[in-house]
Amino acid sequence: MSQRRLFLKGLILAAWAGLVAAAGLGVGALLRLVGGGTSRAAEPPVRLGQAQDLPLGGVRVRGRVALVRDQGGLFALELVCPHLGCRPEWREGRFLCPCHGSRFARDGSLQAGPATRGLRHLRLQRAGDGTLVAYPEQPVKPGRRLAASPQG
Amino acid sequence: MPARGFLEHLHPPRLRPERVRWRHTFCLGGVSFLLFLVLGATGAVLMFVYVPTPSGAADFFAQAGGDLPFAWFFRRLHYLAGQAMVVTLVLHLVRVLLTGAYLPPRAANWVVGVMLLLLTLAMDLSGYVLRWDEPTRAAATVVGQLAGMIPGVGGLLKRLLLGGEHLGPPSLLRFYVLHCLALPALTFVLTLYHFWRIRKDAKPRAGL
Repeated sequence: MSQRRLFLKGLILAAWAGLVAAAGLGVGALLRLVGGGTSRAAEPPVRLGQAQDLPLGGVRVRGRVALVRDQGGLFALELVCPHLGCRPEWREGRFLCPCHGSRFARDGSLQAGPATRGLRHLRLQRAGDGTLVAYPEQPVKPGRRLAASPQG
Repeated sequence: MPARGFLEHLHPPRLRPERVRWRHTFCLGGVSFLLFLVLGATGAVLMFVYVPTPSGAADFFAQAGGDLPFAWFFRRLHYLAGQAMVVTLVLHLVRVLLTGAYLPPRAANWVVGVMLLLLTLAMDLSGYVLRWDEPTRAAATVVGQLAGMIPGVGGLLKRLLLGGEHLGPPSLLRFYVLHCLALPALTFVLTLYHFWRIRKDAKPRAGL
């Protein structure tokens, strides 16, 4: 009698455990599907045009990347605010984030918060035909410059 | 008289008359629920013509006057009812505070009410994102980044909301499902519970 009761109890417990496991698997599958899985598509390089069209001190924006030319040469900034990811706009000599008003200088350095660091610099290269190409997933140290003219 | 029976059903004898008087409640909760029903009806109509892709959203807002007759009407109604619902809910919250209706034994319903307010704000925000222009995309970005900052579950929560590491077309679809299905369904169930608790928490009066 008690043997049978024990067996039935175990059976019910096992059934519950099975149900919970099935529910857990289902939720896990859902999170995996809706969460976009783990695959990460690489962001394509951004083409920024020719260097000679950009005057000294000029800024050219293409999507999430800005090409800037200063005394030292050319560099690329990622236009993603380090605060909460909005896109700063080039306005009146500085990059201004429309969401919470963070400001960045022409060289990407932080002028005013709430962001706590400057804009990221991206790897910038000159393609064979002279077109400048920036790589969104390859940040470089600030301070790096690409010569404004190919031979220099 | 069926009409009188209906009113008595809304205000059953269990509730003290002075607590359901118009000048006590201003029917702000009821008005909020009415607006919720209006939002459900107009939202269902809009679901026939709004396609949750970047180009679909752009088309919808570009031709709301032309190819989609009266789309402007349902969209305006939906928008105004949504704005009004937030206002009436906040006023309802202030009324409940001022009349002390949040005190025990009705404290649990206060918590339910606050959850309903948060759900409504979430529906407000997710509906705003469906416009999918520059400011609303920025809002969605901020929401995703904020969710990502939560320790532990942040990364998963961000990917669930944005459908990836960055904002993109999958994010719009997620906000759409949240706005049209998940959040309203949750709000509706919780609203019914909110109403049921009003009766449950009322003290039975003599003769009942």
